[in-house]
Parts: sequence; C-alpha cells; structure tokens
Amino acid sequence: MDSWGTILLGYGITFGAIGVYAYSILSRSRTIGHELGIGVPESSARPHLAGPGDLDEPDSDRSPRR
Amino acid sequence: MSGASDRGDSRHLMTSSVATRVLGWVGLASMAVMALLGLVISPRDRIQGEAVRLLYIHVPTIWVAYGSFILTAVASALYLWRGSSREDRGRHYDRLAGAAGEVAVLFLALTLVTGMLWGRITWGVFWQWDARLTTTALMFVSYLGYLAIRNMPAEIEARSRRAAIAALLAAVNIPIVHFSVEWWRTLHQKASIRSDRNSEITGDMFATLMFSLLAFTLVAAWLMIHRYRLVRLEEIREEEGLALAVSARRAEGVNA
Amino acid sequence: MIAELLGDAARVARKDLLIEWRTRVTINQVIPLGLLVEVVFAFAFDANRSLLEQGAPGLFWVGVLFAGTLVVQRSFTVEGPEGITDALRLSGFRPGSLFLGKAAAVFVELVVLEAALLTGVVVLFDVAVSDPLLLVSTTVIGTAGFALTGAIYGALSLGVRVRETLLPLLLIPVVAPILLGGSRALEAAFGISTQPGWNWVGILTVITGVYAAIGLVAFGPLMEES
Repeated sequence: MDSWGTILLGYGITFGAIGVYAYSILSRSRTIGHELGIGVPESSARPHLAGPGDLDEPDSDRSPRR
Repeated sequence: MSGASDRGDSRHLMTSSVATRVLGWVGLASMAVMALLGLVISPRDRIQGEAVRLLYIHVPTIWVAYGSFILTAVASALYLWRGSSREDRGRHYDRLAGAAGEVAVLFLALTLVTGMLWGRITWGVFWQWDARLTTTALMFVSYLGYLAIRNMPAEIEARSRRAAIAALLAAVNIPIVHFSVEWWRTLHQKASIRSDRNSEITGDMFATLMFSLLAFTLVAAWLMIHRYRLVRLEEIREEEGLALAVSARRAEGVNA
Repeated sequence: MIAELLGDAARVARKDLLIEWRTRVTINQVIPLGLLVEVVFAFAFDANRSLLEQGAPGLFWVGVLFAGTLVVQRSFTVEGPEGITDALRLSGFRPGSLFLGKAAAVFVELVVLEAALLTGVVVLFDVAVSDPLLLVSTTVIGTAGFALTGAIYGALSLGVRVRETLLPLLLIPVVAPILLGGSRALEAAFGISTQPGWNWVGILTVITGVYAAIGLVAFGPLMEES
C-alpha cells in the first residue's frame, strides 16, 4: 500500500505545520509579554517589580537579570 | 473575536483568556478526532481508494483559506475607509487583516501540499496545469507578497495603508487570474479533472468532511485570535520602545 | 478636467523620458539584458530549433517581464526614496496624472525594448510573423497593461528598503495573466498555433482597463501617506 505513506505524510505535514505555527505565535507572544509585563501571571511578569517570594516560580530564571 | 477585550488600556491585554483556552483545547481535541475519522473510521472511496483521505484536509483547508482571504479583504477595505477617522478602530481592522492573511496563507499552503500528494496518488504526478491549481498557486504567491509588505520595516500607519491596498489588489486579481487561466486550459484541453474530483460521496465521508471543516475552522479561529494579539503586543512593544528611547534621551539631556 | 489630467500626465511622462534619454539606462543596460535572456534560453534548450520556435512567444514575454520589472524599478528609483510624494506635494499634480504619466513613460521605454526583443526572437528563434496586425495589437495592449500594473506596484514598493526584491514578488503574479494572454496571442500571430489570437487581445484589453481604473483610484491613497 504505497498510498498510505503519502497520506500519512500529508496528515503529518498538516498537523506539523499548524503545530509549529501555533508554537511560534505562543512563544513570540510570551517573549514580548515577558518584556512588557503583559498577559503573563503577575508573579513571572516584571520580575523586578515582584516580591521576593516569587523566586521559586518555575519561570523565574529571567528574574535575576534585572 | 469581538475585540472588546483587546481595545482600551493595553494592560488588560492578555495572551490567553478562559474563552480562548477552551477554544484551543476544543480545537486540539477536534483535530485529533478529525485524524481518527479521516484515517481510520471513514471508508475508502470506491474510485479513489485511500487517497480520498487527503481530501478531508485538502477541501476544508481551502474553504478556511478562502474565508480568511475574504476576511482580509473586508478588513483591509474597512481600514482604508474608516481607519483614518477613528484611530483605534482603524488599527483593529489592520490587525485583523494581517492575522487573517497570515493564517490564510498557511492554510493555502496546506491545501497545495495535500493537493499535490493527492495528485501523486491519483494522477501519478504532483502537479497538473489545471486552471484551478494554477490560479491557487498564483494566489498563494501574491499573498506571500502581501505578507512581505506587512513585515517590512516601516512606519506603522504607512505600512498598514500599503498592506491594505495590496490586499485589495490581490483580491481583485483573483478573478482576473482565474478567468484567464480557465480560458487558457479550456482552449487547450478539456477540464477532465474536475469531474472525477467530486466523485460520489457517501454519508460517512460527508460527515467526516463536515467535521473536518469544523475542526479546521476552530483551529484557524484560535490561530487568528492569537496572531491578532501578537500583532497588538508587537505594536505595544514598538510604542514602549520608542517611549523608552525618548525618555533615555531626555535623561541624557538632563545629565549633560 | 480630463484634458488637464492627461496634460499633467504627459508632463510627468516627458520628464521621465527626458531622464531616460539623458542617462540611457534602459537603452544601454536593460535592452541588452532582455536580449541576453533570450540567448540564455537558447542555451537552456540546447539550441533546439523546433523547441525554441514553439516557445518563442512565451520566451519573448518572459524577457519583457524581467526587463520590464527593471524598467519599473528604475522609473521609481529616479524619484529618490521619498521623492515622488514630495514632488506631488510641490507640483500640485493629481495622483491620477502621476500614475498615468509614470505608466506612459514605462510604456514607451518598453515598446522600444520590445522592438529589439522581437527582432532578436525572429532572428534567433527562427519564427516568421504571419499576422503583423495581431502582433502589434497584442504587444501594444499587453505592454500598456504591464506598464499600468507596474506603476501601481512600483508606487506600492516605493521608499521601501527591500524594494529590489519586493517589487518582482508583487508584480509577477499579477502580470501572469498578461504573460499568458500575450503568449497565446503571439502564437497565433507567429502562425505557431491555429487558436484564435484576437480573443486573447480582448482579454488583455479588459485587464488593461481594469488596472487603469484601479490605479486611478489607488494612487491617491498610496501617495498621501507619510
């Protein structure tokens, strides 16, 4: 069944492309959100403004920078 | 996408909300169901065999792409018409046009890819110089040009206006390309492909196709909403970046 | 009002052609390039006479397309990065006049280019013209359509840093119908195919009219920015 390989390739490309696109949108939004302190939980946004208790937040690897 | 939550104070802008989260998960689940329906549950076609499974992606993606292109054209027209009179409404239309245009290009690319794979199985070749294929390919390229205009470095308002004009030009061009290519092909050979493409469709197949359309529409809506928000974020960053640069200059002036 | 529109357009065209006459960029660089394209096609097809004769109409239009894109590029480069908007403000010309004037100058330059290219095609690819009237109508109307479309997209990519690459990307998909119609009509004019060529001239006329109308409407908004 040669055609099955082609069909699966088509499905793979479709889901893969949508997934990659969705991921790129989300990660870009996240990056800018972090920069601006918008749209992210208050604890991980603007780490320099957040209280000291937020340092053990999983996302807080950015906080020491500021 | 009512836009109501996106307007106003930028601080209220979120990259996710409850509604879009639900939409995202429902979209993801429906894609999984769509794959299951398309690959496993739906029967093979009597004439096309298994290749029909590719059409469950091919046909809904082109419908979603066409819908999004219409959205782009309408939003661009509204931007040109209303954009200058009401500041924020105008930006809203511009962002909508951009988000829809980008999603449309993605879906059109998927249409072309799955169409080519389907053609490889059915006709034995990836490409036929069929009127519809040729038109779609040219349309794809012209919207790539539209996205190129959107992404070029320039002042926001000037870029938006050009992009809107380019979107309308691309839309006007679709029928011109379509009719000239159609006429070209019918003069040279009979349009034999169209008839066997719409071969008999059974109840199960129709249900799969309709569900797939629903799934892709949900995913496209989710992508568009998030792309819209990303455009908004980028604009805010540009504005804030400018404000920061200005205040930095001011500070320099004070220190000097 | 129409007389004024056309009069101003003629002034703009005259200015562009004068610049071209003084710099001779089209004559000295673009026309040789167009001919070079035809020669390179001969290499690509291994100088296969029958193949080249069959493809001559298409190869002619591909040459026009490439060289024409450069002419359009050049036509807007001479205005400087933001020059045309300033020129508009200072001169008081209507956007429509600028559009028609720009397109007219491009048209004249392209007609000269095409005369050279046609000679090249006839000589190099060994084709015979069987219907001169059809040949002239096709090239004139097709070129007018190309020039009008080129003027719109030239203005659209004006002042953009990436214009050199942006303009062909925008322009070529749009003028594809002209290439298509022009090639089919020339096939008839060269006696290569027996298909009716005049129908394609009709299509080219419609396309040209549509883009003339679009340009007259769109040039205003394109110019008033910044």
